[in-house]
Amino acid sequence: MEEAITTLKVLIIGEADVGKSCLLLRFVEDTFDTQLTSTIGFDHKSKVITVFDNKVKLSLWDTAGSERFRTLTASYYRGAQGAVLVYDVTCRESFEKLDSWLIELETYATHKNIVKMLVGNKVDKHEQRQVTKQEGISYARRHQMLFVEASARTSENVTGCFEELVAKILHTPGLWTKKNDRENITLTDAPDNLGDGSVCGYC
Amino acid sequence: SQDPSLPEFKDFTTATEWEKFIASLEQLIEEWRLPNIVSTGPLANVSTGALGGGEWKSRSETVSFASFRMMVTRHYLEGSTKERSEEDQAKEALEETEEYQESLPFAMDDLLSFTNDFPAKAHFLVRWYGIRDFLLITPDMGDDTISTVDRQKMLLGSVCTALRNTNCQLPFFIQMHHPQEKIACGVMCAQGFHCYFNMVKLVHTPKGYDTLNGLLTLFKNKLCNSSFYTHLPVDVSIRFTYMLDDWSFFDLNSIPSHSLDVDQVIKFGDLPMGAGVEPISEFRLMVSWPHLAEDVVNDSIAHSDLVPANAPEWCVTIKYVSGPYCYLENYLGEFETVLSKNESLDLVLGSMLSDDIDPELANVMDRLAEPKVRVPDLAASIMPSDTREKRRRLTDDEILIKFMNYIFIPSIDQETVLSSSGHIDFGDISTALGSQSAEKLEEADEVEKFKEKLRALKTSSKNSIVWRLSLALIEAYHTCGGIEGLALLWVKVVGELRHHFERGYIISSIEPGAPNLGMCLLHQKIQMLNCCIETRNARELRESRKQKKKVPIDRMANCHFKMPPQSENPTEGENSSSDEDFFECSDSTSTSEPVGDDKSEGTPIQSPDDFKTLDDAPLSAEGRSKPFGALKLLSTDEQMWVPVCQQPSPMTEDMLQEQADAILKLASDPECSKMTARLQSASLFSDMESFKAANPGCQLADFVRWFSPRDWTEPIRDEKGEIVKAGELSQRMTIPGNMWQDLWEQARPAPTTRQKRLFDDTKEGEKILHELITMSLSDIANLLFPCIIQCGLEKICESVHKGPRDMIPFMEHLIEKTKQELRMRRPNYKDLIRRMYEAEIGIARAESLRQKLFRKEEPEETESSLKRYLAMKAQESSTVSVEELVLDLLDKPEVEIRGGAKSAVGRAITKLFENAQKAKLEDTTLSTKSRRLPASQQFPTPIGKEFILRTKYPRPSNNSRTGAHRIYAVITGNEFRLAGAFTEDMLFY
Ligand SMILES: Nc1nc2c(ncn2[C@@H]2O[C@H](COP(=O)(O)OP(=O)(O)OP(=O)(O)O)[C@@H](O)[C@H]2O)c(=O)[nH]1
Ligand SMILES: [Mg+2]
Repeated sequence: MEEAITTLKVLIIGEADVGKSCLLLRFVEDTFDTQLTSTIGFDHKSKVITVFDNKVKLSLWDTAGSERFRTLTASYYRGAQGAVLVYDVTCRESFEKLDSWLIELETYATHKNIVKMLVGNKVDKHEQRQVTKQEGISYARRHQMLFVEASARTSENVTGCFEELVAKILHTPGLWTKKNDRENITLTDAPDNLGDGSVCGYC
Repeated sequence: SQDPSLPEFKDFTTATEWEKFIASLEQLIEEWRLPNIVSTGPLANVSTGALGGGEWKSRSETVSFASFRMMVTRHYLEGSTKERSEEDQAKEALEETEEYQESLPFAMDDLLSFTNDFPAKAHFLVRWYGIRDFLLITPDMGDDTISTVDRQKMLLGSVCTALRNTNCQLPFFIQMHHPQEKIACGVMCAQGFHCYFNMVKLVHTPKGYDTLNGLLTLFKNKLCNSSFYTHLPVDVSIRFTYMLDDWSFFDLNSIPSHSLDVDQVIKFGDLPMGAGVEPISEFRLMVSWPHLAEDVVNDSIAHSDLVPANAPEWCVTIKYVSGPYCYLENYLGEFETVLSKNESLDLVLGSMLSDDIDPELANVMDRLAEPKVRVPDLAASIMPSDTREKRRRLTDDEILIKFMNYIFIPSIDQETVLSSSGHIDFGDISTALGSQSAEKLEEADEVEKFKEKLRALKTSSKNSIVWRLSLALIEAYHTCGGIEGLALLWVKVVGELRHHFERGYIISSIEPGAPNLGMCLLHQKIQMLNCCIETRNARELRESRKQKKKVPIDRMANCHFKMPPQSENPTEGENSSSDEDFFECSDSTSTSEPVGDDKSEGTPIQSPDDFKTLDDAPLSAEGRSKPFGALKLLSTDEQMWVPVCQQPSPMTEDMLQEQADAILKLASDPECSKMTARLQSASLFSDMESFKAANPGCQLADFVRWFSPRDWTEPIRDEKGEIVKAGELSQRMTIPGNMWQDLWEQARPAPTTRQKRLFDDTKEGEKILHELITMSLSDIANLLFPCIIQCGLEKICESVHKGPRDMIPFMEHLIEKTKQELRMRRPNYKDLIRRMYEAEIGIARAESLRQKLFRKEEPEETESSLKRYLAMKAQESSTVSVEELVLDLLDKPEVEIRGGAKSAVGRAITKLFENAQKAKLEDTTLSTKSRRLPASQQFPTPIGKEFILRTKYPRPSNNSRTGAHRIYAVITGNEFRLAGAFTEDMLFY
């Protein structure tokens, strides 16, 4: 089996109860667990996926949404190449808090060009919807993010969302490096065109 | 000599091997699609004029003749030839006869072309014959060579047959003798011509053959057996090479030196840089006379017109000393070896002290730091109280004090630099530049830009304690006894840090606050130590205040009402906020076990009185911060209070990593996912206890309303305010036995003052100090390297405009690389040092060249002011062009000097050779001093002379078509070589 070309670190952030852990569980294990408790601190899962015929290992960091956990979770933002920002389409407040999550990313993420994916979750609850798709789209456009509406319950758009994010990361220069990828500019050694002993300057 | 033409060799006794061999050559030619190869045009269009300029490619395959294995290689200048399209082939087939008469095969054109003479770097056959595409057979087995004439003839015969059978127009060579001899013979068959390539190599030059006249005679003789045939016009190209490789005439003091002598002043933070040896081994001047008619110059034994001053073309090239000793590389590279030393400090110091013990050591340490190193075995070994005296290295008080002062006592200006971080500090650069040109200012700007970039590295701020520590330790390593010096100073430094920790002295010269994860690990650790010291100081201050005031316990709670602490935003105020947070935290429970377990065992951590508060809760609320909006507790309808909470412990990145690793390990196992939550629950648990203490009679739902409001649905009321639907916890919070409920049940009402401390300053401080003193040398070097690398890069950047042209992009790339590398857990320092070495060599070479070429011409005293002004102007413009030359030389294999001897650069070069000549002559005659030498003596004897003679002439008979003929001759001190190419018409003879 061929090896993963790189490992990407992806954060999942957003207000409490928007369904971050459920989305992750759906993506990694393809299940929906109603017995899941509110995350304490952070949780971690990994998964290998194939994008553009390359295997990529994802290191997924699920964080707790409650305010009091912020200092703890923010310490783990370093080095992340991607972030999934989740809000709950049935909860206006979770959408309105997105600004503060972006500030959080701005402050603690070390890659300045980290790729962001905005996810409006729980679209299966049609009746209770409080945030329209259009609002989500324009928010994402304003902040240069990818956008999708999904449901961890029905699994709508869940896998696609992560794949899309990874594809974007792989296309972002300087964000990731291939294993054993060594590029070279030389300063002092002119390359020998013929490369063997027969090269002669004078004779 | 024998006639190079070969008979049509047919030997049927060996027919099978022959046929096999020829067939395999033909197959190869077909396979490589060479039968229809044609040129794409004159060479000047393909490459940049010379054959050395384009991209040379090659491909090889083995063939065998019986059991004799050989390698066939095609060398070709990419793009100079192409396969003829079928269309063209068809067209040409019709015009075949005309074609034969009109143009020569392209290889013959190449033989005659002037554009291909003297390429800077090319295969020897290219240099000698000016060809663009050819095949070469070399023996493929070990030392086997083709040495006999028989074998040569046999091979040449088969090659010839194969070429003709396939109609391939490429020259085909056979490597003779040992490859080092560079002797080959070859053949080219095209359009009914056969061109034979032959070589002669002699150790001595036959008399007269080192002159143009002599060679012309030889060439004409060969062609028409008559040296008096003057109507044969021969085109000539000549090139002479002069070399300088002895630089002893330069002042010795011009070579920079960095003293590593211990007794000298120790220069902290100023890393050595530059080459320790002359980085340039040879300077060569090639002067040429391209495209001469034979009768224009006279070059005979008696007289020669061929002196450099007359040559229309000048070219220079340099050769470098490979891997020259450079100070910075050596300084860093030596230290890099420590990275692989896993010895402990104990081991290093133990061995040092056992062979050489210094009793004064203890005194010094007392005076300096009063360290109480608590690692017992180490303490015993570094503080011998009554042993023999012997001074050595760092054990010398004065030197040690110098080091310690440098590290721990910031100088005034260092402090100001630190405080004004972010602001560009031009310092002495701008004053030094006061009178300088705009160009210089630009350079200084460039340097500043680089330094700005370097600040973003994951290291430490310049001149912070971490910076000074790193530089002092590497200096100790170099000047005070290698790893022993390093280990000893490290122990002293850690001792001093411990002293600070124990006495409650804040370590200065480092930004305050929680560890900055954007800085290197050592920086974070020192910050963490400061956090410990600050917290402890604050606690002790409170304790002493409490002693004085003797405030009754019940009044304490009231205090909070009067002055609510700002625990939520601890940055405000100095001590006041943390005062309240950590008030009276108990030391007794400082274990690392998860809090939950601790409690479930029912370990009583509060006094019996506290348990009472649980029972009659409403009466004694503790640790209240501020009311939480207008919220009322669900069961008691009392005001809900935000409790005073503990701040979580500050963390360094290795602590975070450790925690993450533990969680990562657990998280991979679904069974353990509860454990991961439990591991991280300390802070949540503390908040629960605080909440319970501040809100007697509360329940989990109340806590959730404060802590995670989205897990609570407010009750729904009708217009009258009657509750229609009761408020409820979210489903996930009500799942029986979930973590939140578990913790809630275990939490006891306790204000922060009686809780287990989340941040145990004593424990954390001790942990860091212990870790530092028990580190291996390799770990220590790893902590120190980030700042050292940055300092080295800074040093290089100061000279960035002195380097080769690519220096700036190179450094930009290197800094980017360093940035990435320093974020790794184990940065590849070896690679970074190698790259820095490359930059260092580049600068050293450029500087050496400048030194050689920028020699001021001393103005003559009697000159008028106008004359002097003009001289100055000339000097200025020559400075610019000489600088251009220096940069060109570093970039290109050969640099053409426009204007030759008469140009400013030409004069500088002449001067360089003349000075070397003078120095040589001075050995014998002292009278030549400061006089100019006659033109014939300005240069030494050429180390090489090259002549190319070529013409068109019908051969073998007068009825034949004219073909191309050429001789390339090269004469060096110990070699005379002729490479001839003579064509015969095989159709008309
Ligand atoms: N209908 C519906 N419910 C969902 C969906 N995703 C999550 N939920 C529910 O929403 C609640 C919260 O889900 P979690 O995944 O625990 O939320 P979280 O964002 O991880 O919350 P914290 O860990 O506290 O930050 C749970 O009760 C889920 O069952 C969804 O797509 N549709
Ligand atoms: Mg969760």
